[in-house]
Amino acid sequence: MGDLTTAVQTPKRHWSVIVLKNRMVGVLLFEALIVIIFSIAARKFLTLSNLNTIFLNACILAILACAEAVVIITRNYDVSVASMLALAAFVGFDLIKKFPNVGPVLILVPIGIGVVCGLVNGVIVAYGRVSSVFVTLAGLSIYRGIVTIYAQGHQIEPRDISDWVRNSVTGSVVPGVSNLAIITVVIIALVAIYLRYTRIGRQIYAIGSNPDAATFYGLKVPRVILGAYLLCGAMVGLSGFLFAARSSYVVPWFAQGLEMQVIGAVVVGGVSVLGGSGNVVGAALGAIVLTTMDNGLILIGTHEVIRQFLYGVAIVGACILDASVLKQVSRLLKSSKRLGARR
Amino acid sequence: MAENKFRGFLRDYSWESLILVFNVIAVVVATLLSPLYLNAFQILYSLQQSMGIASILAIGFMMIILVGEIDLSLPALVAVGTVSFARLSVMGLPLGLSILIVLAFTTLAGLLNGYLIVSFSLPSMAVTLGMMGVYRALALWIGGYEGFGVDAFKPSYIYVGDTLWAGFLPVSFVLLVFLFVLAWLLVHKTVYGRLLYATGNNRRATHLTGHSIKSIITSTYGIGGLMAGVGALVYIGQYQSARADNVASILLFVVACIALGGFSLAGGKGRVIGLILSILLLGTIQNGMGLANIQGPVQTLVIGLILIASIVVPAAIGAIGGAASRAKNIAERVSASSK
Repeated sequence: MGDLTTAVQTPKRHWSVIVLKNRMVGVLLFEALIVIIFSIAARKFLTLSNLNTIFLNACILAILACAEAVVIITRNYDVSVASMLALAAFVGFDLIKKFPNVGPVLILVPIGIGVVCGLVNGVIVAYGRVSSVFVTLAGLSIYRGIVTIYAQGHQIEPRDISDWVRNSVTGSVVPGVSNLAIITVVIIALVAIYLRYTRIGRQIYAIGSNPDAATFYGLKVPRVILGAYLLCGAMVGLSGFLFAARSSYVVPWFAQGLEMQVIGAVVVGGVSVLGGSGNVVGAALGAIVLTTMDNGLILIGTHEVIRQFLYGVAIVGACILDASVLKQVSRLLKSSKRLGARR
Repeated sequence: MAENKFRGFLRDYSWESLILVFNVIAVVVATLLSPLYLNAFQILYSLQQSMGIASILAIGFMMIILVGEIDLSLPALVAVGTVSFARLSVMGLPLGLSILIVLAFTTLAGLLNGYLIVSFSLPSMAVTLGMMGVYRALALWIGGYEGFGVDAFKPSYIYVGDTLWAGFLPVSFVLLVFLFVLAWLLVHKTVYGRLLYATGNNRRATHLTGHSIKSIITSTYGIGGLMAGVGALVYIGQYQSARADNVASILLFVVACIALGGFSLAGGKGRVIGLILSILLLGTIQNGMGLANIQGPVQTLVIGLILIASIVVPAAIGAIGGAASRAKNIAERVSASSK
């Protein structure tokens, strides 16, 4: 519904229009609010080192959320991201361990695995015209099964990881700034620009906004959806590399259950699960919000129960907010009769 | 005449017949793989052990799928049910009362899912994902990190999941058969069942005929929650433990049963008999793999591949059929113009 944002011109003052247009500001305000609350509640929260930790912890979730957002904008889901990440990380690091002399070219392995997984998901979803939830749920178990079989009970330990790998992620080329942060910011910026300013990027929004209209307009809908899954897969593969290099341990059940946090970050970041609306920078901000919540709640000493509960509530709450805003906006559109309202 | 009838039956039930054929093949292969397989007691017991809870959940899931929605939070609700049963058993409540409390609670939780979805017209996938987190947290709150072990349960609590009548007939299997008969009656023989199909096929038309779509959809979520409660009752008998992370990976099985049973996520498609056959098939495959000593991860992989196949094959058949009818159209047009 990115097109709605620009189409609404008459009723400028209505709250729903303001919220829809300034979703990112809303996410930032929420972030500021929880930062203030936690700094009052926990003394250790508002220190430079803690804020740095939060940011670094959020980086990988942010890339994953960005990847998931691309798919969700096309009105599809990918619930297999965590398994894809584990497969890419495990196989990639196993090859790095076995061929220590090949060097940085091997970073292409996890990315390539991510792309292949994205290809499988994307081809079936886009050309089979079947529910993406079913397909990627199957993918979730298949990729996890493959990595468990591949591992044969082994795991990747810190001594298996070459120095160049660790340095490339945890080191800092620019003094004082971790490479991980730079990589994350660059990737998200690139994807955001790609979605905002290129033809295919706009097609992704158009398809998510109204698949029928996009088809009638002559867009190759399956091809674009496949492209979204490929982009998602590449980013998931890369974040598998980053995650494994940062945590130094890779086991077959690596990152299990992460998909919930990823989708949570996307939703909290203001990307509509109905497709066609929101952007990847918002999704990345959503990842920062969730990580801040996690960090602050741990510092306060909250039980895990409450953290998990708040995660769930955040997702449902963000959905409700999103749906009610969109409902209001489409009602305004109907009354202003500028467009044939879609919903 | 009889032949025509048979053909008509085959056309109407083509998917179910296909699954039936696969069932026969699976039984033959399993018999060849392991000499232990072909034994009525073994089949009955392992079928209900491996598929019992998944089938009960699948009944609830089927109702939700029929109206074109989805509920990812059902396994989490089962976990809530198991830890609540354990807590109530520790508190010393009689079984009847705890069943009433737990089933009422899970049904209400299901209705809450449905209410949120219809009243704000939210996408069910994202909402139930969030509610999954909420219910897991609730289960963790009730059960704690350690959960409950065997000694938490009074003998009456584990009766349903653990007892064999006459030494061979699991009580939970009888319960399962009873539930399937109820589900079949409800879906295929009542007005409510027809309304489920109507809602799944065309919401607008159903709405215009004067039915409340919102209450139909919400009610299916209520049935889903109820089934999660029943599943929890069977679970505590089978495993005699209750933890907040129970049944975390069952969703794949449930979805595989549903997809293989000929249901479509868009709603309004599929029959109870298809679901039963697909459960039998998946159960046989899993049982056979277990007897043939195939590792757990490989088994999960196989189930995932079956899920993919059961999605892709109908889509491919549809695409080929569409292409064939288009080709036929063109051929007819060409022959008409050449005349």
